[in-house]
Amino acid sequence: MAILESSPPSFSRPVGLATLGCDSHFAEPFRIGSPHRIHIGRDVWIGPRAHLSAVEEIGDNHYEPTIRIGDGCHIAEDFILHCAGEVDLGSRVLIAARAYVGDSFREYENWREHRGDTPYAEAKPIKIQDGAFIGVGAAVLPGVTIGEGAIIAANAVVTRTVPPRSVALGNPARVIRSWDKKAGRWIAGPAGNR
Amino acid sequence: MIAFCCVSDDHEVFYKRAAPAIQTVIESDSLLMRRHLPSSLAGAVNEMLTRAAEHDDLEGVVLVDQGLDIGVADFLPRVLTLREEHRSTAIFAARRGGAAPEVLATPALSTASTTEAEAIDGSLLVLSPWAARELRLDPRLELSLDDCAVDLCRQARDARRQVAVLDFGVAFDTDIPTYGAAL
Repeated sequence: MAILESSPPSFSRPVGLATLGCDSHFAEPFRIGSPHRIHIGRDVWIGPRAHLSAVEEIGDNHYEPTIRIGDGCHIAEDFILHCAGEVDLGSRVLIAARAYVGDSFREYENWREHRGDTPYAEAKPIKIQDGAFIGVGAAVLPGVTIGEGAIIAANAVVTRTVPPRSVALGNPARVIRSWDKKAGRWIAGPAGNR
Repeated sequence: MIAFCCVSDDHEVFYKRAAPAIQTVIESDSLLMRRHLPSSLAGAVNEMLTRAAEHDDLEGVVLVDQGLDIGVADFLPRVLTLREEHRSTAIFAARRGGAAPEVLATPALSTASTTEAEAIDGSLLVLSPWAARELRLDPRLELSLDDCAVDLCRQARDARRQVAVLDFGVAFDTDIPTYGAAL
């Protein structure tokens, strides 16, 4: 298939990541915070204007972030990933444009005027397992696991774990279909409803 | 495939020296690894060697100091040529000498300039696939980068493999601290 682009993005292999696997590339421009906290597997493609932010400190608060992006992941443009704890993308995860993944948020337990040094709340790990698909504009929030091969619809806001081989949509996202392995077809609702 | 490994304790030094140098010589299929302020230098080197050795197509591991500048664009072809011509050599190292900054390069590589050695310092080592698979450091020891290099060389020679120094085309700025100097 021919692709017509006004100015094809140029790709680079940034040095300074904890790991950058063979044949993995970033489209320019990109922004990477604390690259030594980020492991990228092999054959990973990350689209233009990605912002990978491993947050080590805000004001007097210190964090130990680790981001892992597995082999064969493809991530479209304008991806934002904020990590103050642990975010783990398995292998062959496909992420559409403008998706957001964040394992924490600005602390609001006590009222405060929000500023740049407002600390993060406790980070909760995010896992996006092998072969999952995250749709356009979807947001994956703290503590969520997205199961193997799960499909997250466009603009979904995922606040709870999504089981493997299921489809979730909406805000907050709910599971509307599950793959019935025995029947070889999708069934309505979560797998537990069978 | 060539793997590049670097241990750093100073972002500024790394991004001023080693990072741009590595950037100019890497290829699309190079594996890049950096460990910043690891709890154990030896443990970090072991872990990177293990990850590199997992690749069936590994042709060599370049262990580079954070303050090292690889000054020649055809560095990787040189490494591969050396690997081809010196199959029994487990570890190659850049020759060091002269005043600061120490310029170790001679522009044209001559394999005749390769000199067998007992041990070498840790500014730049090129490990063969065998060395990446077989040689490991004791993570309980608090080793400097030079200590690591000496120990790897000792193990290679104990296994009846050669260690060689040669003109690799690199510069090491002695005004910039090597790993661990600031600790």
